[in-house]
Amino acid sequence: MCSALLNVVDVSKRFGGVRAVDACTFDVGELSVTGLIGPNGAGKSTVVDLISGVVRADGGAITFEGTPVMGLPTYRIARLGVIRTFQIAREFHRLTVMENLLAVPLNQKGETLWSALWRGRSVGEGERANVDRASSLLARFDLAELANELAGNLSGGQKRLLELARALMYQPRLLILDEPLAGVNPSLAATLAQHIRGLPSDGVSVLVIEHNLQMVEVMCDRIVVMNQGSVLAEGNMAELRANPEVVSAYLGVA
Amino acid sequence: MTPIVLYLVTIAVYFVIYNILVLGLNIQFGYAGLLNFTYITFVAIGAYLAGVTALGRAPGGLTQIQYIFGLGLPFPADLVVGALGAGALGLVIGFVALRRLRSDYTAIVMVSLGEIVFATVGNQTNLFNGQTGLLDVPQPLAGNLNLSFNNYQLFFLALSTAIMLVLWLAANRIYHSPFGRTLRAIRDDEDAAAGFGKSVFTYKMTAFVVGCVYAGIGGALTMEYLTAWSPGAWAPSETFIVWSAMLVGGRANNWGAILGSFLVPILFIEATRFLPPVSGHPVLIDSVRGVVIGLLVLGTLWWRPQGLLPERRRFIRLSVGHREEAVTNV
Repeated sequence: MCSALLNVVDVSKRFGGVRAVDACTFDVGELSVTGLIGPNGAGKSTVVDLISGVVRADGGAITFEGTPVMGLPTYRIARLGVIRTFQIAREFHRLTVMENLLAVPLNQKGETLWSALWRGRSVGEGERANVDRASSLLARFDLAELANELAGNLSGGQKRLLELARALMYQPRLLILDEPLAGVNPSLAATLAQHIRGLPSDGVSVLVIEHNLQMVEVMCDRIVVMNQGSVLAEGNMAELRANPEVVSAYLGVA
Repeated sequence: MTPIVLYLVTIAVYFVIYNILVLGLNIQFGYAGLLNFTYITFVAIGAYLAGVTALGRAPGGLTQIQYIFGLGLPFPADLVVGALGAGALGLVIGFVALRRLRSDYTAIVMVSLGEIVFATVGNQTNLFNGQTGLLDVPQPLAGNLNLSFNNYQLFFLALSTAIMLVLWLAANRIYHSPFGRTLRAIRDDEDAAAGFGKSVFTYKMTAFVVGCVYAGIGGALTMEYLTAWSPGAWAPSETFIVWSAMLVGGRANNWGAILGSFLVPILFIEATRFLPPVSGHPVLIDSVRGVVIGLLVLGTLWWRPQGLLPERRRFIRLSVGHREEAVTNV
């Protein structure tokens, strides 16, 4: 069993009269891929919003490597190494695909006003190193041909690939993926799932929301099932299939 | 110098100053997506502060002329004070308008704060001499150069062009730097940018203050050229001339800023001064000019929303090994 990188304990969130997340508790293990599944409206995306600081929780505790992150602004949580993608791709649409990746690394040379105005040699060096890294990621995600295309002109599936490549450009500790395979063609989805499966060996732990259960099984070490805002069950796919509550709430009878 | 040459020099000075103004707004809106609908306020504060830095102590008493400072400092101290003062006001207004608000609410707050500044400056007569404004401000280096009136016009054109070129180069450097790229990423999706650890507020504030400094410099130069400045020079609607120039020329493109500064404030506003007056309707041409500029902006947004010279895509070559890798992948 891996030690926990992220702990979500008793976290709740209400939107008006709706309890979107209700005393939700689960962990994400270090260097593992954890799946988060459940019916629509189970609160999966809200949990991701709470972890990444996009939405503020009403109660409970979220810690990343022992550091409490609840209440921190999004950018501070990101700086700890927690990066997320969105359910609907949110590319920087008037930047090129390459620029989308180059915009991501933190504390780049030339990223402050003064260093931009008095650009020294180190700016160019930093830029070249980032272009190298970005080129390799774009090639890995079949986007190299589109490197100089505006991101807004990409197809839905290509935007998903771009989001994943962009997130990896950051070199996150924990990558949270919200339905990364939605809208991606089946053969590419399988390739992507393999990529995601391999991320822990690059030092990236993953929490992934996904409805394609076959792919969930390929990708994940452990799966958390949510229903009505709280965790219904945890385990591997075989254990979950044997759990009648999970079958009735989400999996259905085959 | 014939009157026509003098006129053209005057027009050229306005063109150059408008260029500075459009560049500043372009940094705010074109680069960072900030809706500053009170840009002229920062122009005005730059002008006033430069004025009270260049002017000597206010005579007061029976003349009833009163204003703050009256430092009597030579050029370029007045320009620097004007630029920094506009930047400082940008810091204050930005802190209120950019901290928590989304862009549409930011725009509303900006307009309100601009109106507050306008009303305060007009009514608080001991600030900048109220509605009468500042008069007889010494021109840059005029005392040292001893040039004839005509030659001084040429000197001023050269001076403002040199300042504009420096600011144009700075704006270009910002655009092509990682800093500019982060601004454009925030413009496109600020939540996604925050999700990558970018402090959106800090970046927006920086872009906003830089734009305000440009406005302040433009204002200071205008005032120095006119040797006077009063509320009549900066009606809130003036903001939209700068906006029109930027939108028509092309946002996030500094060549577009030049084109827009030529088309809107010069071609449409100056050229229409030569239309024959319509008898019985002395202000008709002025009004028609406003309508024409409005239509020009509408037409641009409708048929060519990116402007005449759109934002340019920046081509970056892939690192060699990966170009080959990509080809084999296809």
